[in-house]
Amino acid sequence: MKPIKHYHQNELFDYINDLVDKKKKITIKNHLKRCKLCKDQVKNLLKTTMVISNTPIKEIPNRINYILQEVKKREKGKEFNWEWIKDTGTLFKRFKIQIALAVSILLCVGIFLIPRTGNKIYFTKVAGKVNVNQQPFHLENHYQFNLNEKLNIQTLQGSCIVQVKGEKLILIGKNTKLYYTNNFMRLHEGEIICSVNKMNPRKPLIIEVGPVHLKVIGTKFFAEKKLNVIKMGMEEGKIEVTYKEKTHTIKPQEFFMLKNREIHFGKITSEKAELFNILNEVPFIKNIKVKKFIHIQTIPPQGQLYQDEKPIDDLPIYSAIPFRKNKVYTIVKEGYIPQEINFNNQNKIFEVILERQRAPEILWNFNLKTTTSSKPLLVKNFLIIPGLNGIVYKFDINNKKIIWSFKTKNRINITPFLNNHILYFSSNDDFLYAINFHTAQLIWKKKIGTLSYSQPVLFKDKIYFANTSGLFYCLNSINGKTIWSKKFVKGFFSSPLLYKNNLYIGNLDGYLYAININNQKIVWKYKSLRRIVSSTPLIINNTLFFGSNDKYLYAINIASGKLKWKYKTDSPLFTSPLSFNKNIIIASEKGCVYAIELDTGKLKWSFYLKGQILSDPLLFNNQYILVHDKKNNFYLINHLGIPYFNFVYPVTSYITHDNEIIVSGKNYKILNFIFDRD
Amino acid sequence: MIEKELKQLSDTELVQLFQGEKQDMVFEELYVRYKDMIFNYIKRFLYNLPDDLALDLVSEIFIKAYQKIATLKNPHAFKMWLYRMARNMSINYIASNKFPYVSLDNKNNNLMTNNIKDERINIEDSVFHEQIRTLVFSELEKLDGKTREIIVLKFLNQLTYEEINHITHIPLRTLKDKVKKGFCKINEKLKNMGYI
Repeated sequence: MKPIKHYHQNELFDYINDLVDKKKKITIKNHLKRCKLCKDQVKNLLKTTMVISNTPIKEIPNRINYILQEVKKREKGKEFNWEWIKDTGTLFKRFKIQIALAVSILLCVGIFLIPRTGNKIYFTKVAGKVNVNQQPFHLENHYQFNLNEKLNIQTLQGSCIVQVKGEKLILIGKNTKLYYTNNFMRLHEGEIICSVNKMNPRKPLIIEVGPVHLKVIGTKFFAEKKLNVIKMGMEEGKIEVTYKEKTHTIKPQEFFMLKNREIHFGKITSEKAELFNILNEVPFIKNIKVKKFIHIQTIPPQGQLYQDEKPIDDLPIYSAIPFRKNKVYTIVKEGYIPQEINFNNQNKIFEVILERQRAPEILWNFNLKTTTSSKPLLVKNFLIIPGLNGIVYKFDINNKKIIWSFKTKNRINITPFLNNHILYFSSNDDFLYAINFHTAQLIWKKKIGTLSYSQPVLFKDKIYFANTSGLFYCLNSINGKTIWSKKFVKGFFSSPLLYKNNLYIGNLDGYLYAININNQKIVWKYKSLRRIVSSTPLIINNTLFFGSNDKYLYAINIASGKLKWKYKTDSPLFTSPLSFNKNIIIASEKGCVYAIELDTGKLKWSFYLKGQILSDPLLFNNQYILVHDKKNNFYLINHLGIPYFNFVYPVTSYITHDNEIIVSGKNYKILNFIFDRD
Repeated sequence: MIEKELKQLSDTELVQLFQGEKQDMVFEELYVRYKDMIFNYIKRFLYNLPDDLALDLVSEIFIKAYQKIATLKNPHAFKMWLYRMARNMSINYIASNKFPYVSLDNKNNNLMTNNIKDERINIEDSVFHEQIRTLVFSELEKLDGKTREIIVLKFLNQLTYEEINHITHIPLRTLKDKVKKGFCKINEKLKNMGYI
């Protein structure tokens, strides 16, 4: 007799729980009819199921009332207490029930490094009609206010940007009424967009908009009050909105809105975010602190100023700063700088011609996909931009478009130069390229060996340049073939200067060489105490000027190669000398700009910037010197050595053109600043 | 709406009604239907949780349900949604260290048997059945957390495997295996003890 196959309890469990297929179910069912053991197992399993399933369930008390109360209580926490509004209707009536206040807060961690500034409120980018303290505001006549002044600003179909201490930037929109004091604002109507860089937690900025108070703890934000909606929002940072003694923290990218007595929270739109880009483009204006000034005779602070032989009563001396204990006083009229100071015979009364300070404005800007690795080249309406990504761009300034781009394998290390419709540039991929200026078609490229930072010189279809391995080349500019080359022991980091058949270039061995281009012979050489790095020589009146790492500015007679004079500065001179107003202008590594008299080598003036100076001073508008330090400060210095203006923008390179400055920002932007838009 | 009419509506209809316009009476009906089940589920899930804390947790679950019911896209899945919420909040409750989870080795833990005062018992209140019940619960406690939870949901809360899968996100096959193993263990124990 065959033994009966019994089913395991797992299989029977599946059977009673309907987890087997039809065929197996029938098989088990038929088996259970014959097998008592399995049948008993099934009974036990069913009993267990019943036991477990019939476990008594504890009944709990009905807490629905408590639950509903809690729900309402928690929902109230998000809302303002409307009871107050119902009771104190008068206050609400004053602000009108329907108030639109949108505060857009964009926190921009900062394209700008906002510097420490003076205690002033500056107005810029004024468009349309703006009233300040019920008086029409004109940028030409009113430019800045003292920090403790109370301003009632009203824009009528206009807008403006207000800078405060370099820490706050407020864009006041159209049809806006704003009351401003230090650390407190009241927005009656309209829209403001603010950027707050530094906040003192003990003195937070408070903005009152109707019954809503906004406390700013370091953010960019917007506030709107339009008809029936109050809106406040932010992108980063922190603001606290207080309404009826309840405070709500607004999260980044969120806004709070009060509409029809109802509070809403939401996410800020991209349209609002775009408005903050306007603030990003505004360079901060610094208050100029003049440390060194021209020498004047002892004149008390109450001295009379004259203009055109007439005494000036409305331009008093604002400050008197003793200079080197010689009782020399500076004359600082806020918003103006002296252009000329003349003495009479008695040296007691002098006349001052003042010039008004003006802020730079942005003419245009363009987003590039890279920063520049060296200065761009401006050719009529085109900008040739050498990119850090190894790509050279031709940019049309009028149409704001990139015409073409040419790719190399490494960063472009020099400013491209043009000759006969051929554009030349070298890259860190060891090649020197010659391409068609209009089509970017490659004409030739030449391997020039190791890296070259030397800005080539092109003269009569010949290119002259030197590289870091000590090779001095002369190439045919048409086909790139080497005409001659000369090897030096040490490398070149500076650029050559061509003057009357001689090339003048400084070497790492400390020598400044004069090389004849026809026979490649060294005409003369002059040794400085240390190596010459990057300083390109300057020739004026048969005198050659160059700076060296030994801190000296040298003036050499180009005929004989002998020293005329030398001037010691405070630190190594990496920058190239510049001629300006019969002075040689040179900037030291530590950040001092020197004006040395061309003929005598005597110091005319010097001016210290806040950071290191690594780029050459440039001539701006034939009136000023433009210098830039490592802390992103730009200064315009006039012929008296007085900083006319300064602003802040992080750049990788910049060039000047008349009264415009074209900068390549660290933020992948190309900007064109303009001054004096008369 | 009258209470009687509300009791005749299904869960789905009640949820749809409540989503349309928040009415406390409608929510109360849903609360009454599920409060005990959720409480007992939590008590078995967090098996050494004192009654008063369990009651608070149940209240919290329903407060959240009231607030979030508008986000429930499928009113048919209310039951599973509620259980899932209860499960997640229980897990969070443990994770927040507000409630220390006692290990299975804690032999003093017999809250399941002692603290529950059976007010409504369908089976004959005899010593025999009481002993079986005690044994079943003690065996349940010996199981690992997941198995216990699944058995509780399947047999005590009468949920289907699909519903349990939806709540716990445990795959169906695993669910069936765990239930089978856990159940068979309890069954063996009862058999060995001679109760069946």
